[in-house]
Order: sequence, then structure tokens, then C-alpha cells
Amino acid sequence: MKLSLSLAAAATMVAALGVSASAQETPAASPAVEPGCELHVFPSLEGKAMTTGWLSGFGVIGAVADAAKNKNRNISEAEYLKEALGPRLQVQALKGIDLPAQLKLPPSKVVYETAIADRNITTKAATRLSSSTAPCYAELIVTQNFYTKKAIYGRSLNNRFVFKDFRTGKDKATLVKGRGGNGLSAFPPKTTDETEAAETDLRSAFAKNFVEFAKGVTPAK
Amino acid sequence: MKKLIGLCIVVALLSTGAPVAAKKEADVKAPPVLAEADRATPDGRLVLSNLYQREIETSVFVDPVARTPYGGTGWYGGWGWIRGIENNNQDVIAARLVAAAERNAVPVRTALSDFDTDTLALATTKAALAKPDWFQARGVTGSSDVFAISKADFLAQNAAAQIAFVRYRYDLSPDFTQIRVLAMLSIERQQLGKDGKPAGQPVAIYRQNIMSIAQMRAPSYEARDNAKRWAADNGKLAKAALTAAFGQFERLIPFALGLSQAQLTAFNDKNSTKAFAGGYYGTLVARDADQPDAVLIWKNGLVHVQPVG
Repeated sequence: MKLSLSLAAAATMVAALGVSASAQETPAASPAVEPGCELHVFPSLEGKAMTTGWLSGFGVIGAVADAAKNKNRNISEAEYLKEALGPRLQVQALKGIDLPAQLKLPPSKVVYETAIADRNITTKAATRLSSSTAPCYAELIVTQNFYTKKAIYGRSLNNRFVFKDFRTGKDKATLVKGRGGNGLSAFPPKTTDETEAAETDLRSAFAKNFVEFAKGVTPAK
Repeated sequence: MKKLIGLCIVVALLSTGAPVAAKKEADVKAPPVLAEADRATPDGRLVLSNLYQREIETSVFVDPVARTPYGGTGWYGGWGWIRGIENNNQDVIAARLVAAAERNAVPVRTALSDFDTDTLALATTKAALAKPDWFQARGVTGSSDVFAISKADFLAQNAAAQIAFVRYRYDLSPDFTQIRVLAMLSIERQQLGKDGKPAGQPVAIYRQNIMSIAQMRAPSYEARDNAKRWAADNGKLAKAALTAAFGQFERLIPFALGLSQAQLTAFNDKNSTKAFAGGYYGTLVARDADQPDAVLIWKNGLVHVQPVG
């Protein structure tokens, strides 16, 4: 009940934020000058959750017991993660960051695209995923949203990203893949009163994960 | 619950890749190119055009659930149990997604309740098959109820050297940003006895699936909001999308029927120029001259994507 209440609260909050997909453009540089470069961002539809306890340390039998014990929790937390960090909220979190600067790109127009469901496309396709023909063009794709709770390490959010830099002028770009993982202190919420704090915690971890990933990105040569 | 999960599997199949999705229909292997020798039919072809549904369907995206390192299917019995629990988790999530999609689709279905998709489908088939000179459609029979004219009955009642089937399905994409229409084309050669009546099982000589997608411009990330947009103003946008999506078949069906083996080989070449459109990634066939955002790709079949709204 608590969880369903918090889901409803999350949905209300999500609706209030009002972010729309595809062709959502955010000039990251000075608004007076339209940047010549484009960064297209694809959020993820994914939401996975996995809680494992001490039992998993006792071999297969323990793991079976653990999987059975945490079954409902894994389902509800995966569903909650999809709500609380769905594409709209990922975009909301990324809007708080200067994405081109983090990715070492020149000032760019940031275009938020519709999420792509097929992992074979997001993790393998080397060509552009939008119809833009801008010569100065790059893509950032979120490919994983994974909440884990482990007996030893506690709660964390892990994200995987793919960055494609087309500024070399080639039709195909190298896929720079990487991840970021940060601990969570308030997510998932135990009561509805904690919903806001939990979701702020989640989005903050998501933003940190991106920054962590971006540190390892080097411009294409 | 079982019913929901069954439905979920169907919609998941539909959502995972349109032309690929209809694999179940293609139980009998048939080439996607009509052999030159099979093109000319002195008596013409009979055509059965089916629309399989009464209302727009929904689809869901079910991503794989998180799996433990133990979740394999090794000899250790416990591994299979874990995989069973994990698969059940996925079924539960899928069933809930189906329920949510069905709820979200209500306003779209209500708005489309006065829209005659049957007539649109039949008119599309007639217009499309009238275009290739060589096709010679002798008559096009339409049916919105697959049970009213089953394929077996149709074959038993009609003698012709070849019979063409055009079957349509249409649905909303999982995020409600698209209205998609799938056309499943097939041609069968009928075995005729000495008396000129059908005898024996017909042989499938051609089979191809075509997807036509109408994609909402600047959609929301929330399916609920997109559903409202499709449904607004008595379903103005949803009706325009269906009309546009079906309308594309008037040129896509003749194009698909006319494809040569050489073209198909070029489409399947892994070094061909690729494009992404409407959730599909495949060989770029063409960009529409009249609207640069509209694109035709090949992904185990033709996929056309055009923006609406």
C-alpha cells in the first residue's frame, strides 16, 4: 500500500514536471547564439532491480531462497524505478547538467529524443540515430538503469551510457561505452513522506553516474 | 492472469519487430520475392483482404529482468528454480504493463469507435493491387472477421491458379508515440484437379510483411499524455495517422511485390547504408521526397515511418 501510494505521488510529480520527448531542444550555450553543434540524447526505458541478502552467500540453495524471498520486492522496485527514473525524469536530471561541457564538446544544442527499446540498436548501431545531418553532431544514449541492494555494499544505482562522436565527418562513429555507479541513501522510500527525498536521491545518483561516465570520455580524433 | 500473460506474449511479439513479429504467420516458408515465372497468371488472381481486429491493439515493451549469476540452467537443480522465479517476475511485470497499456488505450479506442478501418483496409488493398499491371487482381474479397471467411473456406469455394492474401493488424507502440499498421502479404499457388476444382494443399510462393508507422511529432515521454493527444478532437490525430499509415501501402505493396532478388540481396548486405527510424534499424531504402522526415528502411521487410501531427 505504501508503495502504491508513493507510486501515485511519483506519477503526480512526473506529470507536473511536463517534459516532452523528441525534438526537445535545449541550447546549452549562450541563448543569443545558436550553437552549430548538436548533441542528441536518448534516455532509457529500462528499469531493473535486484535485492540480494546474506543467503546468496550460501551457494545455490541460499540463492534460491534469496530469489524467492525477494521476488515481490524485485518486481515492485523495478516498477518503481521505471516510474521514478523513466525517460521523462532522466531528461529532467540531465537538464541540470551542462552535457556538452561534461562530454568535452563545443557549445551544442541538446536535443532530447524518444527512448529506444531495442538494446541491439542502442549498444551496437554505429550510425546516427536521428535524421539530423549536422556536421558537428554527437549522441549520448542511456542504456541501463539498474538498482541493486546487496548485503555488504548496500543500495546503489548503476547506469550504462554510450557516447558517439560524429565530428570526424565519418558516417559511423566509435561507440564509447561506460558506466557510472553511486550509492543511494533514501531510495526506495519506506513511507510516502519519504517519496520526494527518495526520488531526489535517485536522480542525483543518476546525474552523478553520468558525470562519472563523462570523465572517461575523450573527444574523437 | 494466464489470459493476460497470453495476451502479453502476443503484444510483445508484435512490438519486438513488426515484420519479424509476424513470423508466426509465416509457418510455411515462402520467398520474399515472387519468381518471374509466377507473375503471369492468365486467369488473374483472387484476393482475400483481412483486417484481424475490431479495435486498435496495444503493445508493451518488457525489458529483461535483472538476473542473478546463479540464474543459469546448469545441472545444479537450483539454477533452474532461480531462472523460474526470474521468468515469473518478468511475466508479472509484463502482465501489469499490458493492463496499464489497455487502460491508456481507452480514450483512443473510444475516439476511433466511429472510424471505419475495415473499409479503409479494403480500399487500400484494392488501390494497391490495381497498380502493378501484371498482378491482375480478379476480385478482392474483404473480411473484418477472420472466422467469417476462413482461409480454408475461401480456398475451397474459389478456384484460381493463384490466390493472394493481404492481412492487416494495427496497434499503438508501447510508448503510444506511434500508430503502426502491419500488412502481411502472401501468394499461394492452388493445386487444381482435372475438374478444375481445388485439390490438395496450396503452395506458398511469396510472403512478405510491410510495416507502416505514423509517428507523433514531439510526443510526450508519458504514454497517457500521448493517448490523450491521439484521442483529442474526436480522435483527429489518430484517424489522420491511420489514414496516412494505410495510405502508404498503396505504393509499398506494389513496391514489395515488384522486388527482385538482386534488390533483396542489396537490402540484406551488411555493408549497406543503414538508417534508424521508428524504433527500427535497417538498410536505408529511400527518404520521401515530399517529407524528409519520412523514411523507408528494410528490416526483414519494408518499414516506412512518417511523422504526423
